[in-house]
Amino acid sequence: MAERPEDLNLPHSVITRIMKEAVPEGVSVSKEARNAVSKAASVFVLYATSCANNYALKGKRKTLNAADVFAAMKDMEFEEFIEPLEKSLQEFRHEQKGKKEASEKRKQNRSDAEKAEGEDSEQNISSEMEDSREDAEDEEDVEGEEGEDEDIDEDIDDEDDDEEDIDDEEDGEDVEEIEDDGEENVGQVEDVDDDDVQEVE
Amino acid sequence: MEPDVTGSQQNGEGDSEAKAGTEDMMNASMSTKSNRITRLPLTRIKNIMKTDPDVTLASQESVLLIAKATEMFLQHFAKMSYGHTARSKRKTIKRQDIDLSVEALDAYAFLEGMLE
Repeated sequence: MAERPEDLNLPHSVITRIMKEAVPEGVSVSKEARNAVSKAASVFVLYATSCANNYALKGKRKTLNAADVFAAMKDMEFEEFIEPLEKSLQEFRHEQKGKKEASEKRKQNRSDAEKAEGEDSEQNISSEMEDSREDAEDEEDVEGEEGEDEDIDEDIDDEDDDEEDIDDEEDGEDVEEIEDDGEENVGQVEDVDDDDVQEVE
Repeated sequence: MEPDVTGSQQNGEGDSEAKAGTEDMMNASMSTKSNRITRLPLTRIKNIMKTDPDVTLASQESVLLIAKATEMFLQHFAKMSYGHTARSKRKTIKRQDIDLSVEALDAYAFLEGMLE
């Protein structure tokens, strides 16, 4: 099956799984129903994005942030989503913090190891520069911006969300590189299978 | 790649598990626990958001939240639709149940005419 990179549908298998978990056991979903719900999900994303973006524009910001999404949920009459979403946000921020600390620790260990080797100062400096660059690349979740911040040990302002350039392929794209790769594979697997797999009445 | 299988719940899950394995690998770096925050692929969500010409940039957090909200929406939609299914004494959610949900809920008004 041809796989277009701009496939705007969410993976069918995931949709079905989520739906099935929300209903009693033994209940199945027809292919037509599944397709309609899948489309609805994409429409939901668009609608939520548009609503959220209005708030960003109102605040004269170019970047959609978490608060915009919460405000959108209220507008869309999905207020009951807000509390669970806040929990998810806390989890996410916690994870990001853990990643950052792990990365800083790696850097620390590296420079410690170098000092132990007793190289001359000049060499140490160039090694550190290499490390910075490596860290900037290793930072899979953020563009160069945060990598730089780490090098100079600034506290990342968690409220200022990491930006993704969703316009073009810039570092922002690399930001989710890992997910992209995984998803490409995912897409291949399930695009071939999902029609066979779906239950038809 | 998964071999051809007959449509059954188990195979559906097998397929999902293959994907989940991949996603787990990706998300292992994101999370210390095995429960990731959402099962929907963030890149795909981001790509959908990108199609809005008025949107310039979106923070990672906002992409995550929209993904999570979409997952919650799916659960909500499934439950609402199943209400109609059960009333008709069926065990398979059909397109008509979906359509009835869209008509019945104010919050789903944005879906009217969008599902053709």
